[in-house]
Amino acid sequence: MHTLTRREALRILAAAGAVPLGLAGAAAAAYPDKPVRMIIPIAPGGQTDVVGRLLQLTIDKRKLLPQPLVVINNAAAGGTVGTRLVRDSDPDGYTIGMFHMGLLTAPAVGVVDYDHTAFELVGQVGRTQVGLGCLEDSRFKSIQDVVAEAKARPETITVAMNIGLLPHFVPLMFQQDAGVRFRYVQSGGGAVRLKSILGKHTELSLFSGPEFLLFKSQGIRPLVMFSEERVPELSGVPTAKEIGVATVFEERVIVFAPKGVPRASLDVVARALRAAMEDPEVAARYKGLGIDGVFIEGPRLKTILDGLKGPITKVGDVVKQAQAEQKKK
Amino acid sequence: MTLADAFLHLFTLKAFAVMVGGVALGVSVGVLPGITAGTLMALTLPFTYQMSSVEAVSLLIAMFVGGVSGGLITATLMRIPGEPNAIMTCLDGYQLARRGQPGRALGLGNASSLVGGSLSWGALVLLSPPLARLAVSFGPFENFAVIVMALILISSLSEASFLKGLSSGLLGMLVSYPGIDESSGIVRLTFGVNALEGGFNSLPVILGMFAVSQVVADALNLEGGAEPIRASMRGMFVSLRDYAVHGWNMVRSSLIGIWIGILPGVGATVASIVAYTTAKNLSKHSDEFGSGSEEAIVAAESANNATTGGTLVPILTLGIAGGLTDSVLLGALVIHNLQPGPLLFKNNPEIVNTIFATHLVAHLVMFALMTFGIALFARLMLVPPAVILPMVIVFSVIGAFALNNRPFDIWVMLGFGLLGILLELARVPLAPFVVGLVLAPAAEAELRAGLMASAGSYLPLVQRPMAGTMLAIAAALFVWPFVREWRRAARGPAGRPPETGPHTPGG
Repeated sequence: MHTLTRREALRILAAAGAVPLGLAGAAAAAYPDKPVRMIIPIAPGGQTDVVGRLLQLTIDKRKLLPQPLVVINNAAAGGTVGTRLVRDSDPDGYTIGMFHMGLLTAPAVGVVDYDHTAFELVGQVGRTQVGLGCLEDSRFKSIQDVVAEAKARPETITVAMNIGLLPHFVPLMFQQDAGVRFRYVQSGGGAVRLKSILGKHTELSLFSGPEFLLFKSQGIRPLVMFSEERVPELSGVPTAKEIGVATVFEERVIVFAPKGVPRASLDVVARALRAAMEDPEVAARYKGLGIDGVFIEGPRLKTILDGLKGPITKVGDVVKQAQAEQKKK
Repeated sequence: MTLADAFLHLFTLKAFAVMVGGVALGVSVGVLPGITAGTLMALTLPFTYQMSSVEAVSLLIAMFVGGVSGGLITATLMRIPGEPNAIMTCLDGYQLARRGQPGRALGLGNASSLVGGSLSWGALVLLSPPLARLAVSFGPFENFAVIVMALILISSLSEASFLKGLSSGLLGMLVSYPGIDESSGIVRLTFGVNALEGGFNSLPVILGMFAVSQVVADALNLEGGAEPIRASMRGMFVSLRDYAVHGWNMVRSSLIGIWIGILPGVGATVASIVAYTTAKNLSKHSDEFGSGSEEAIVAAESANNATTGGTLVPILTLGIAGGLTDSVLLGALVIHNLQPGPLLFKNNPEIVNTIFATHLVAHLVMFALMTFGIALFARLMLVPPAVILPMVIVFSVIGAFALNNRPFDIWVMLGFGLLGILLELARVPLAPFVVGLVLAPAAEAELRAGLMASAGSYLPLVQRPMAGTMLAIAAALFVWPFVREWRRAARGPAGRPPETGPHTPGG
């Protein structure tokens, strides 16, 4: 017969004691019992930041979380410093992050060595459609014109981009799918790319649906959208699919937490975010900003992002190859 | 709401209080080393969601104007840039103050700030649309040429010891290198240190080089009785004669500031550097630059305030922002459901006119506050350094951290503090270091963007008329000091005044 060693006995006792203690502890200190900080790894004022602050304000105003949600901007190194900070934080649920698809594109170009799978996903809190646009009086009347010219004279049409991020990635995807080649010019964020197009320093650039609406009065004309269906606010603009190019890509605002945060805690944050998005005032602001306000919870979002990983990696390899060639020079 | 209405509205109790509060906060963070107007505005942004859009833009513009101006005080009295754009003011403001004329230095700076701000207001209100069109026509090659004009300062600042100045400038460029290369996305020179991926941010580096090293130097001198600045506030009020003497310098430097302000992302620091160089190269007393030249203070302070009006031009007319402060202003407009761009003038004239009115009135309020403030802050000079110095360090640490909320920046600041001390000991000038640090990344990014567009051809640098002209001017600026030196030598052995140590103006 097996006799209990002293150590085993202690372990059983401890385990027995731990159950009620653990429950009591959970009841006394339900998550969150102190402020939750949310890292937004871009500068204040951008679209992701506006979404983050809008939600944070509503969550605090309507007490959707028992503790304040504190937004911290950390804009260093294209967001990588901020995402790394979240990844390396204690998985206690008191540090979370909010970012966009840069979470997937940064690893694809080799800037960081982790992607969305290094995190627990809380959910998607916003989505915008993206497309290519040009100047109103551009020589291109339609996206077909662009494809024809790019086929006739490869690498002559200039595209204002932001390296490693969507304005770089999506045109690369499109050129692969359409079998053409563009010439890429580094410029920066949406406003800088706008200037580049307006000053005729470049011909095309990727903008989001909201940006197209915002920049219309400055003379920016959308040529193609990379959505599944036509965007209602831009109903005159064809999708890539309509011209027989398979490119479909959307910008997403993603909330995430360090690996290992208990699902229960993630759900608490997810519920608060979803409730904030359903607030009529927030819903109206989303509509005004042109952002789709459908909440997608973590597990489903992970499936979607996993599915995008392949195409993004493929494009990333093209970028890396170009970088390697540049290094050789 | 017409512009007149906007002015009237600004003088209602609440609106005026909000604006004065904004200017006062802006000047205060301007004075505090490390905490910049951009940080203040970013922190304020969330609070403006609850305000009316008119109040929100008024508050932020007031902070913007106050912040650009306040840096002058710390720069002059302590040789610490309260705001990065006051770097050039450190060089001469502090020297003039040490010669017993802090009131004169601050008064001149304050008056120049007002002139620069007012002239830029005129440009903003009268010429916004054409200026914006012109600014947009500036592509990467033109921007590169502008920055090269500023980079030439390294040679200009290094006449005392050309080699030391050049080394300092190159060292600054080197320090700007580690991190993600913005043009290719490649991580370079980080030696596997993850924290370095963000590079050395210029704010903590400047704080270290100027604030920390200055504090340490002063602290070592506590016992030795470093000569305290006699806080004579004489000369605080600038006479009409001064305006006459410095008038052309003020106008020229303001025009430089306005133009550089309009170019998105180039910024007030570059503007004051270019204005300083230009003033130095055109001055009959260029030898005095760096040792308390009035012309230098006038040039730097006119130019950095003149960028405020310039910066607003592309934000309002095109919705284009460059630096942090611009992005926050643009973000505030978008958050309040306003669409920056040509339609803003038609759809929301109340916002445009409020911005116009606030920009001018905030400058007048700033001038008044600074005039009072100068008398107040000058008393700081009477407070024992043992009390002031620790406070400077505390605010520097807060400022370095607040920028990106990462402790690494504090270490960067302390490390460069040490480097600053070593360079000072070796009598290597610090100004070229900052010029290299700030300008090299911008020059590199613009040139490489241009080359990407031209498929590797350098020809547009000379083929594009604006770029070619500016590079020619830059070349002339580079050669001029040598020519002047040569002509002077040819005329006879009339010795130049010594490079170090105070000397009287006009001597």
